[in-house]
Amino acid sequence: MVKLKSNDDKEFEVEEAAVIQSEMIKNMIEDGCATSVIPLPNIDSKTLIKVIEYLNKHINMGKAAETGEEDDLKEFDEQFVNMGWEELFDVIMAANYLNIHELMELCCQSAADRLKNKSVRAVREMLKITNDLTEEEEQEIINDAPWAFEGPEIDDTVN
Amino acid sequence: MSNVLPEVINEILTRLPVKSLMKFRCVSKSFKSLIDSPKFIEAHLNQQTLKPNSNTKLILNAHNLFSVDFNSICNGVSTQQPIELEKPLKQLHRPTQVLGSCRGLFFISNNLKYNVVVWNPSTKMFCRLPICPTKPPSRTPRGLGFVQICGGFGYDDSDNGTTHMINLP
Repeated sequence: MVKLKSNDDKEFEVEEAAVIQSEMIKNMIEDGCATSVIPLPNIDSKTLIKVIEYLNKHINMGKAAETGEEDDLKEFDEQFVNMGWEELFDVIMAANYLNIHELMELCCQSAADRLKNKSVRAVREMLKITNDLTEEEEQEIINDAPWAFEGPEIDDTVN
Repeated sequence: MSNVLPEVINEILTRLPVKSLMKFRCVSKSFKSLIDSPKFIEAHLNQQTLKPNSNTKLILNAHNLFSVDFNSICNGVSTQQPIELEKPLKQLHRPTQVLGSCRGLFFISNNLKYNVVVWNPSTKMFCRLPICPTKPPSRTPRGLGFVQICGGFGYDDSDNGTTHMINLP
């Protein structure tokens, strides 16, 4: 068992087979640096619980393919990313920090699917980006591809 | 929600379709320079080719050019009508020839003496190529009334991803 500690001081025990899906922790274990509790200063307990849930479900990824449980895993993944935007982003940041390739893949695709049809204004708000383009520069970019700014699918809501 | 890291933005944007990217160039200066950078374009192309058949289009070359979803014709029965592409060089009396394609770019012409362009159907952008008339070797076989075309279009990754084209009239 490996002990992980969130930035709000909560400890979690995770099976080694599950936790080594994180390249970062796998390297720590291999280097003998995981003997006591591993502190994760960038991850809060709420996010860490989600990450551990994913790791435990995906513990036997290879076996799932053999036993025909792939559909079950696919359904779990679909349910897993069904969370609020901010929550999803916290999981992406945690997956990036812990270097969990499959989880990063899953959540970034979900984020891309949600952003795809958003308006420019909505994207700025969702990703907390300040617009530093002048009106003229914006108009020039629109003129490059006016068709990209048109269409019934464009969605100005933020969620 | 914490501040978003640039590498995370990069990961997400490589998963977006071209229409969204052309729109999001307008988000900020850093978004525009990221989306326009050769490194990002390369990463986007690699990411998109990972998804089997998801977005693959077949380009049909008749008098004009048409596009059809590869998936829709996979089972032998076409479920979708081909869509005519808005392309540069469209003329009523001259068909468009596709002289080559490579990594999503098309090398097209409707008049090899005057009009040769490299065109990206996804971004709808195109670039007219300069024509350098050269005399063919005297022994080049020629059909009656036609100009013999030898040309090529390829990708050279040793040269920062520049696409090269050779066209010998």
